[in-house]
Amino acid sequence: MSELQQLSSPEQWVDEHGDVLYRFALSRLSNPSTAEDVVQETFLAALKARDTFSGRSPERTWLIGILKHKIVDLIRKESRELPSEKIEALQSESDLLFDKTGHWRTGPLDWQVHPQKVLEQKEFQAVLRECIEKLPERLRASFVLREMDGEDTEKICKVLGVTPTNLWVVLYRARTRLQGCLSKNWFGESKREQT
Amino acid sequence: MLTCRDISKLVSESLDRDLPLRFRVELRLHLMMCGFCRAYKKQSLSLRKMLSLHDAVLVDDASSDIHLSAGAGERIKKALNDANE
Repeated sequence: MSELQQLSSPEQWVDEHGDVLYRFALSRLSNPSTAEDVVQETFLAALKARDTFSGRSPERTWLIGILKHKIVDLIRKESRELPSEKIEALQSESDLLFDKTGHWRTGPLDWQVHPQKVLEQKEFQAVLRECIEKLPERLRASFVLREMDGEDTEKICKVLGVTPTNLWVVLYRARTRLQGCLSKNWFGESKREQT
Repeated sequence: MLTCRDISKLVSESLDRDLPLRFRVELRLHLMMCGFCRAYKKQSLSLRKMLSLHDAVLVDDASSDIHLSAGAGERIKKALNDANE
């Protein structure tokens, strides 16, 4: 019996994999219609490249691989179109959180959290999604590439066209904003009972 | 002397690269003494953990209520059929 997988038909691809590809794209791009477009481009590219599918990995893995490339291409293109950050803006996160002597204005919340358990709650998923969506574009792009896709500094710098030092500042801002957003909207005083 | 502001930046940076030894030492010493910065670090690690589980829990979840819309699905199928001709 052949161990190689046969590709299902293009229409079947949409039925079997459309939702997963869409959720993957939406979580990286935050915009539903952009996510739909990139999923469509992925299926079209897969159709063209059908003959190169070796069958050694599952169909879905192959499609996600194409989708990841499409998302990176899109992020690369959109980054080139972003105006470069104002230097003053780079200080804003720190100014809000720290006083002139560099001390915390308010101590960060102690998150009593079980990451897997909280992530499984639909209400939390919505809060996380909104907090990510609220990030300015360059911060979001850096953050999703680093934390969702696990890409390294070198690769992300190439995609975004920034230096490593710049990237680390951007990631710092993204994480700090996200942590603040989650503290405020989920882990805050009134919700202490929840995990 | 590094401030908490400096330390928070180092905590974040340590998630992306190996810090030079001098900074690693300062970071460790500061964290031993500062509960606020420890809390910040704990948040960073939790956030990283959550995101590492993200795809398995949110993307692959067959019971998710996030779907490609019916309209989009039809559009894509049509585009595929057109391309296939």
